[in-house]
Amino acid sequence: MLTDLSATHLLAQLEAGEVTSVEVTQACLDRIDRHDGAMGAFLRVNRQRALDDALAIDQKRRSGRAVGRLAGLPVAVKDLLATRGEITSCGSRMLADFRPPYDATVIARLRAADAVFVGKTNMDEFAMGGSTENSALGTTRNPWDRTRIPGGSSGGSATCIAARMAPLAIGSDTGGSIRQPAALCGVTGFKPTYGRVSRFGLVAFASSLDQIGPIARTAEDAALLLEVTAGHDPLDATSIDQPVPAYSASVRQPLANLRLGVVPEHFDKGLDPEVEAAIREAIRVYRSLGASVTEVALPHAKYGVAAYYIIAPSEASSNLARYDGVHYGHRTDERAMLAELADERRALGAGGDAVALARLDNALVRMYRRSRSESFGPEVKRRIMLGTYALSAGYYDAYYLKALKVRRLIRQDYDAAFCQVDLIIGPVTATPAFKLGEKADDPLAMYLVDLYTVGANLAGVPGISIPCGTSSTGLPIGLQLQGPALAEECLLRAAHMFQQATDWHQRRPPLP
Amino acid sequence: MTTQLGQIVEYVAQLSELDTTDVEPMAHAIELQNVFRDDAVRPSLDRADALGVAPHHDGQCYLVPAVLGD
Repeated sequence: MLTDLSATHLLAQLEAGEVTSVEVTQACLDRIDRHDGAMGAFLRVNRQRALDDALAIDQKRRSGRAVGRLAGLPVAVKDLLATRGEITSCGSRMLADFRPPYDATVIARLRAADAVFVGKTNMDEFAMGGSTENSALGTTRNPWDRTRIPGGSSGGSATCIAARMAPLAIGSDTGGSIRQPAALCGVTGFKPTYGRVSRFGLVAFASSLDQIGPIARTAEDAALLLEVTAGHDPLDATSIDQPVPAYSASVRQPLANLRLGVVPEHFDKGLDPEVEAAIREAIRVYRSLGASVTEVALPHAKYGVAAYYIIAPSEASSNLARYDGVHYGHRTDERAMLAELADERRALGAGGDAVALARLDNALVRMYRRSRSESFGPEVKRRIMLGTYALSAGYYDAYYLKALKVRRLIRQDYDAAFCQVDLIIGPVTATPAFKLGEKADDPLAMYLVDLYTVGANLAGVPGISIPCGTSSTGLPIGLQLQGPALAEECLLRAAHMFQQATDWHQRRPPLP
Repeated sequence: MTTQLGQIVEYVAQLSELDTTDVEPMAHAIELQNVFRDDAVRPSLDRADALGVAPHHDGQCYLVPAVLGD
């Protein structure tokens, strides 16, 4: 079946004229029609546009004109990359009808590469969450067990790859939002070095941590998608001005004398025994491929979640201040708002409460208040409050500044570790996918899910998640490899070596 | 919500265990120097496109509820 083929394989067939983009795209759309009602990976699927684009690319290819690197391959995009004229909701009621007037750089690069956009995928609202349950616009389910979460925040992208609804998807990772859903859905997810991929047009969550990356079925496919999307962008001053290696060519070269580091604290209590067994078996596989394995210390890793949940909400509270009901996004019903305000003013005047009357919102402030409170969900509000608290006078030093100092210590741990080893190997998550609703009322428990992933974001280093086993209940388990800044090639090659020696990434979820 | 926020604030307060005297705060993942571009006029978003996504506008400006007096 076409939808079972990897992007790399499909591209070879497209180039050889053995299959057309229309056939590949139609196969994906059929798969979406059949399964996405139950899975909920997509917020929007643009069938006709996808088929029209596929046809145009087929014609371009047949006519002998030069085509882009991904010519004819369907790609699904997390719904937080600005797509000109098309709804970009970020999983929020705030942006439910927002049609950006420009394309994100990643979207522009995918267009230039002649990719076919099949649709936008579901996500936790503003990428805040680890289960996609915080989406205001729909529920996404884990293809391996529909009663479980797909992970998050890029849960829709991971689900659509696992369920074979598209060969390639784009996600974003602020504290694990590519790697964690990839692990829980049994696919390959790659968070590149901070700045490797332009963030221009990405709806901002925590700007010093956000990074866009590929979700795919194999390391080869992730290499292909990263190669097309990475690179310096004058529109993002934090993008790294260094050439992009030919990841899709180098990925097949195995690494000789690979030095892997194991962090003993990763195996402390809290790690599910089945996950631990799968990780230890993966380490054994690497040994059998000639890698050496030594212990390395990340002594401040246990403080990562605490530092992250100060820094990320602080940046979020600032970034989300832009949603004011004026420039774009949701605005409260003005007539109702003014009537409400007039009623309050009358009541306070009648009661003779001059102080309260003086403090009453003016119409503009009330418009801000109502627009925001109506359209942000509870988790977004929670993080805005945490962030404003951590940044407020009197608490700034104790929380925000302290967290930035701990961030430096975490970075220094990584720097020291990467003097001894090439890559760090360990778990992505402590457990396989949990049940929908299981942690819904316990935000702190939900935050602790990020334990193994936030370090890479705080330090700005790349990390990849690849399937390395299944639990006794048939749920996927992910292996994480982390490398020093700009070690994308090494990570992809190491991941590919593993996928040549194992077949976990080939396993398919039990969909009808 | 109050209880949950309390738990989270209590959890993040564990950072106070660490001695961070003489540690430089790290505000960004890659520590860039200032990034400059030429101060040249470039095409930017068309006004109609920018206003087009606003909930309320008059073709020239964004419109908001009156702030000054009634």
